[in-house]
Amino acid sequence: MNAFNRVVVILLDLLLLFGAVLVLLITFGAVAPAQFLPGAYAETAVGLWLASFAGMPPTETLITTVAALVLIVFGLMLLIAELRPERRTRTIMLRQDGLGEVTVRAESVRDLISYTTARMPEVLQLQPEIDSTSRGLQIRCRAALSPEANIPQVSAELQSRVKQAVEQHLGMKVANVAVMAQLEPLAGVERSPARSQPRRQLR
Amino acid sequence: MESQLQEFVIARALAHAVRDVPGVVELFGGRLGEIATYGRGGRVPGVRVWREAGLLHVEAHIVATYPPEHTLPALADSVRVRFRQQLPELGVADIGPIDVIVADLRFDDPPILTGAA
Repeated sequence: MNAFNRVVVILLDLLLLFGAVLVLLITFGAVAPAQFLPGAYAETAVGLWLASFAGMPPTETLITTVAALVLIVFGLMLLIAELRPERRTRTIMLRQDGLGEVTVRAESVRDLISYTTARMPEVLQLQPEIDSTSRGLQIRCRAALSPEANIPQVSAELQSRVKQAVEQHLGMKVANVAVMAQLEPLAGVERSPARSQPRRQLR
Repeated sequence: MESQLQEFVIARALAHAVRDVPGVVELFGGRLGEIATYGRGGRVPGVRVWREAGLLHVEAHIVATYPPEHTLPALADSVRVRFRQQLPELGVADIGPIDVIVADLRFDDPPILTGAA
């Protein structure tokens, strides 16, 4: 949503909140419409509509209260959603010069690593993490291997493939690839679809 | 008086041009379509164009093919070169930074499973 649309939504939301709180206050007799509407406006449609909330029967008071509270909760949720700063997608800087910046989303690099290691049947699950440092990229991979796998051998191959793929395609130096291999499944990590059925596009 | 093309019109021309760059599959408009240049009657997803301090700034969010023919920085350079060729044709002389964000990769060939079947 662009800035103009966001400002319009926030203003309308504030208006909704103000109206709902006002109706609630009038319903319970905390304020009277005449207190905030000048005399000339008290007889307008808005003034008469607001005045109708005062002195309602109990059933209508209950319905009005519930409706106003629902609107207030909805309005506050919308306000929080609109005012909350946007979560910035994590990116890795590949190049920065006078012509501009070239970045790649960290998620895409993780997809690249997952895709590369999907060619290794011994690797059942993989959870890569990437950090960009002054020495180059630091990559940490937690990997769940098949019970038949030779752990040192597969780990070394995994390191080599990840380093080669990332350096070749990102054009960035990889300072280190750390592999934490285990035979137990990784908690909270789904088995990559690429290992059973290749994805056309990883998102 | 010098007339300037609207950012929306420039974004539309650049979005068209970037699709000709080998290695670029498409533009990425964000999960909620929030990456775009807005104009009268529409929006151009995946390209942000704005003017700041008299310079035209461009931000292109691309989806790249995998495996790429070149490195991703080389692909980004191709995009920037294409834009710098295109912008003067649109009457833009004061070109500022052109940022390229590789937002996603499109894997066209399935992974080849090696070893035991």
